[in-house]
Amino acid sequence: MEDEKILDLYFARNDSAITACTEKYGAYCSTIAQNILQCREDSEECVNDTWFRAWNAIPPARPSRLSVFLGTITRNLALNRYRKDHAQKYQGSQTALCLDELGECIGKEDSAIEEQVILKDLIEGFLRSLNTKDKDIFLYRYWYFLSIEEIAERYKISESAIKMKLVRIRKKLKDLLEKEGV
Amino acid sequence: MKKNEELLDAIGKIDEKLIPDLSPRKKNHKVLFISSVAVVVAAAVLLLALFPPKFVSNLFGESHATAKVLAAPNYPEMAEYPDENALSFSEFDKQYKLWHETREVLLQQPTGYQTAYFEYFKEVVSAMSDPDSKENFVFSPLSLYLALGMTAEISDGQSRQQILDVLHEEDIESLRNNSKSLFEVTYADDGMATCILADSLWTNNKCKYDSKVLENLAAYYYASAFTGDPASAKYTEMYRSWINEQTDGLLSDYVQDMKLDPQTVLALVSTVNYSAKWNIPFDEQATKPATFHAPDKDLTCDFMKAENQTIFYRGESFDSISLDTNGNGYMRLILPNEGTSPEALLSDEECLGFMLNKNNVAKKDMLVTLSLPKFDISNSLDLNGKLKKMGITDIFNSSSADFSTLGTGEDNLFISQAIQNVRVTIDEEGCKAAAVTAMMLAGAAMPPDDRIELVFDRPFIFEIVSLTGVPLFIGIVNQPVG
Repeated sequence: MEDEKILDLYFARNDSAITACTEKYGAYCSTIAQNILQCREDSEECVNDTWFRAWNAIPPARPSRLSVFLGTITRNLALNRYRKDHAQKYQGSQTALCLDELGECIGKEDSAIEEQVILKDLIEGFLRSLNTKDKDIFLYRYWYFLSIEEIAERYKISESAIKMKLVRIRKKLKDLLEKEGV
Repeated sequence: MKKNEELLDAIGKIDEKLIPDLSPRKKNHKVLFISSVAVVVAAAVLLLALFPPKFVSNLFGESHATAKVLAAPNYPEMAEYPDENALSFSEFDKQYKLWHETREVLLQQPTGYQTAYFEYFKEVVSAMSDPDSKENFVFSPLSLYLALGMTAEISDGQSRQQILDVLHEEDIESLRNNSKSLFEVTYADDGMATCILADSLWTNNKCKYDSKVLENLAAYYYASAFTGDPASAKYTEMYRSWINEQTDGLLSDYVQDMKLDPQTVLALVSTVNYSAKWNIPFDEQATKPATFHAPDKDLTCDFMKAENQTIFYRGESFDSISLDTNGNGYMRLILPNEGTSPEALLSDEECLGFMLNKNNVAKKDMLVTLSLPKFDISNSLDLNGKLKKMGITDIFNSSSADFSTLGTGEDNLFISQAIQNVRVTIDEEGCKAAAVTAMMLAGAAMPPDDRIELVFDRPFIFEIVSLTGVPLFIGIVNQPVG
């Protein structure tokens, strides 16, 4: 079903919107939750919660990209669960690796809410400055939490090439964040 | 929260447009432009496609010998945007889906199609405006780009190279492909959004033309080509009618003064007609007269008012916000700081980068109280001198112009006239169908944490940008009312 049609169902408060989302984006959201948690049961719960959250958010929201809108909800839910239940439970997930990798880019001090807003703007600007391929690789890793192997497969290049690309992109990000004092 | 977790969260909050699709996107190979009226040089078929019957009979009456169509484009086919107030939910849903599908196909273009255009944009904008002018200025960089592309297509040698240089295009093939992409992502004629670009080539019937070139012009540039005797009243009438037809008569004040000089060997005309509905409409009741400080005197004009949660931008020497339209891009409004003229900003590196969405200025999500004068501005730009200054010189001189590609066998062809007419109007109208969407947007916005009042009561710049970030029009409002 077309996204626009699904959204219209949400707006009409027709619960077949949820069925349509499950069919169309169930696998997509499960991939994200699974990448973050590496636990089928918990991932399923996150995905189920996603439909509930979406039902409450639409309307008033009318997302222009339904996939990403739902994916963002799943991502947040899964990350919250990851934090709440401590990382130990989720051994083998990509989250710990991604956190380690990103730890290289940024200082250790806690920051105020305002800084978080600045951080989002800085990252957006940073991503826009990258070419499309680098931007996408970065986001496949840190938005979708895909493994290096999966990204390499996607681009049909070696894992080491992806690793090197990510190192270079993180270095650029680190330089930017240092320069901006974040 | 640890810093690396904050970073991960911040990545999760970025603009959704940046996020790649997870599954490889299927390419839609639907062919849009094949129709029963293919690109041919037979006047009768194309006339039927282009003109109402009345016009056809006139043409085939006494004017057949003096004016005819050589080639005409098949414009992108679009489903009509359904009327949400007049249809049942299921019928609206069905029609909306069709509209959405055709729109999506047009928006899918190869990456990088805008790169050369953006470089050209930065140079052409200041070249076209007059730094000392106190009049309004309206210009469509896209329309000129397409018109110049068309001229490159019919020229050769140094004449063509000068055009390619100004357009920042490597060769004629990349120019063709980029022109076609730009046209398709911006052209809209679906009942809701209108952005009709039209180019035409007016030739002299004493010459022969290579039909292949005219077919290319129609295929890549959506250009109509006509031939006739420039001295005849009928050909002039056809010329005026074509422009009125393409622009819904909005430019009729200019058109009545336009004529083809008997000496004309080739005339190039580019017209634009844009309109769209505001995503968040202005309340008509709130519109009140107030003072606009024009360069020479104060004027009284109607100011529209709105209060919206939106992104407010601040550059070194300007403030800006954007007004979204329903499905046809947005209008960016740029208010220069006191003491800075809009004309000066058009050569300002920061402002030009901002106009091209370089994300190079400070921004904040705020509650903006906007006062904006209604305006209806138009102008006719004589492009010859301005293009010469930019380095396109040969095509205007019969001894240096090389139009051999056109296949006329004549070696004294030159561009005798290059003009662009543009008219832009904004008001509260055209927004009534957007009411439902507007409520959704207001509800979805975050609560205001700050507010600002933005009053466009002195000369300002506007830029109309397509959904895909292509600047379509740029203008300076010095006199909102005549």
